[in-house]
Amino acid sequence: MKWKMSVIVRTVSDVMVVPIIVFGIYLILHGHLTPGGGFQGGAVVASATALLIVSNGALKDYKGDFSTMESAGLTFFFLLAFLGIVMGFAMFYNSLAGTGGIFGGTVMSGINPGYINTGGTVPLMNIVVGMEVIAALSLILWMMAKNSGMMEVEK
Amino acid sequence: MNIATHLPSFILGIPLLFAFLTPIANKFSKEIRNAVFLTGLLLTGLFVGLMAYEVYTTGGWVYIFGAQDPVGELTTESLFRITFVADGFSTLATLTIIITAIGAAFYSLGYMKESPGMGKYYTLFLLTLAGVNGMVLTSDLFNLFVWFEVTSIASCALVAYHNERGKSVEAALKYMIISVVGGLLLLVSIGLFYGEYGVLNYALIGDSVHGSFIDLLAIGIIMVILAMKASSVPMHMWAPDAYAEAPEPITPFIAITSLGALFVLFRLIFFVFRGAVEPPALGTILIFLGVLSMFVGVSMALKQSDIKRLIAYLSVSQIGYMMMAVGVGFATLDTADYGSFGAMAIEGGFFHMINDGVYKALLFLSAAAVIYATKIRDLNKLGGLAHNMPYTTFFFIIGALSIAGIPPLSGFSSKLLIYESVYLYHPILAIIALVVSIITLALVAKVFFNAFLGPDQKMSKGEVPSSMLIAMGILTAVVILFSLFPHYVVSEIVVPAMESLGVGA
Repeated sequence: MKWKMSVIVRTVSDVMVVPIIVFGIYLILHGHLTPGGGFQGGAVVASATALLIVSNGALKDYKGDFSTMESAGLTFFFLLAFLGIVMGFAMFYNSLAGTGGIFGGTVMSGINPGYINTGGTVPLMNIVVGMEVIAALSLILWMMAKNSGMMEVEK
Repeated sequence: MNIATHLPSFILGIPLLFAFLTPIANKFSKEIRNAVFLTGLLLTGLFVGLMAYEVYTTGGWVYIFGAQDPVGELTTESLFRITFVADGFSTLATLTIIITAIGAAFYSLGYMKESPGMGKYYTLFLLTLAGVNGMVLTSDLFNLFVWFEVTSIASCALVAYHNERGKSVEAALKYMIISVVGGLLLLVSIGLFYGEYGVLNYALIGDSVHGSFIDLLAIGIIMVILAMKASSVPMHMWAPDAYAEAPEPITPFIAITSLGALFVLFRLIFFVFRGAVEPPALGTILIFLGVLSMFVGVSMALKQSDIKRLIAYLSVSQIGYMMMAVGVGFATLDTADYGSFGAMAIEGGFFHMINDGVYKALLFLSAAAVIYATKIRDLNKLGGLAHNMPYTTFFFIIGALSIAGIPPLSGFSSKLLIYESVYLYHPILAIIALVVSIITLALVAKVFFNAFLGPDQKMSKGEVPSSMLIAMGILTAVVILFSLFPHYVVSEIVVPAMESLGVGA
């Protein structure tokens, strides 16, 4: 039997998923400026997965995709950590800060609204951590749903 | 700047990087996954070797993560950075860990060939390796907590690998609950230190500790937690279950996480706690824990008939030797006795740690070979394996004689140092150590007699696959090497480790 909620729930959740994902991505990208960051934003995006699973039930077998995304996120994280050594500093050194490239802007002093193109490797690490958390939490939710018989997996 | 200064970060970072490359490689094929895993492990081994070379030729250094200059001075700005120490003690610890890890890894390739979920198995293997390496290398209390948790969670998942067996899940759950509660208590005591001194670095705390009530409370909690993780009696109840129920090839590596915790405990005692406690008092506690572990471990082993459980209890009792020896050394610190026998006790204790890591791995792996060939773990049902499995029999003999401390094997050299020195502290300690050693010999003789001797009962179809023989061969070679040149090991590996803790002879 397929798990499916009423059409009202499904429609509302389909609509709500968009702002939830946008807000999660906002949290991830502004991690170095405002409260939040990779983990929190990732958890918010994963809650969209939860919403979809609960309302719509049967999804395709995403296990492999999620687990690849998770591993890729963590691999990028440690590659970013090694970037410090490649640039001639210690591991995890923020070698991109203030260099003028991507996220390499100079931090303004004084009271200001925050400038997103700053932070060096910190926002990049937020993005890969966000990627990892989205994948890992979604994978956990997917497995829980599958094993509790909430949905049938269509191969 | 010299690239060699980055070696501590490689020893940590390479296993972590390859841990997460392994599941990606698993998408392509088994062979690529195994190649990626082995590359990560052997690279780590290479970097451990290079760090040992650097430490022995140029002396140690402190590596500061995230700093512009990784070997610069700790300034007020970089006070809260994570620091790793590369010194003689780190080298002793990482060498012990990597030798066992390489043995367990090659063994896994043969043993777990047909098992499902191996992508995750190898990931967890490398994560545990990174966790233990981080634990022994770090010199920052909060970072210690992080690696403690990484090690606990990864090794716990490995214990639960056979999740179709109820007992494995039970052992893993027990291990996890104890580790997590222990980890949180560790965090509490780190908080106590931080609240009192506002720093987390070992050296900085070591400079300021003075034995206030808060200090002693934190030291007590940390010692209990690390002794628990080191599977010392009376906090040993998780260890035999976890060792017996973990997948056979990984068991020595789960045991090495215990040894890693013991390394951390010794580093903390000499580095941080020394200024806060009376050496005889803390030394006596260590001696007490050690004697208890030795005796209870070996007497619990007497009644076991499961081959892996028996070796697990023997491993608990071996932990006792190290704690007792280092306890004697610590109790005599700053007295005239230290020069006459205290230093020798610590020498014996540290030498026993590296010996123990290797021969215990050999014993666990040869027991695993028995289980692989016969699918039987009960000693009363085994018999006559020497007819079909000559190599495994030989490897088991080497490991067994070494753990029993029979000359000329490596276990004898370190145990002799321990007997001679603790006898001068108190004769009863040496007598207990000798008695425990004799019971250990009787136990391994029982295992040998039950499993390998007797008429051929056609239990095994022949010798185990070659990758498993290679793994046991590597470990046997190391044991024999240590047996032939014990003085060299002591002067080149153990003495620098003691000097780096400030307790040179």
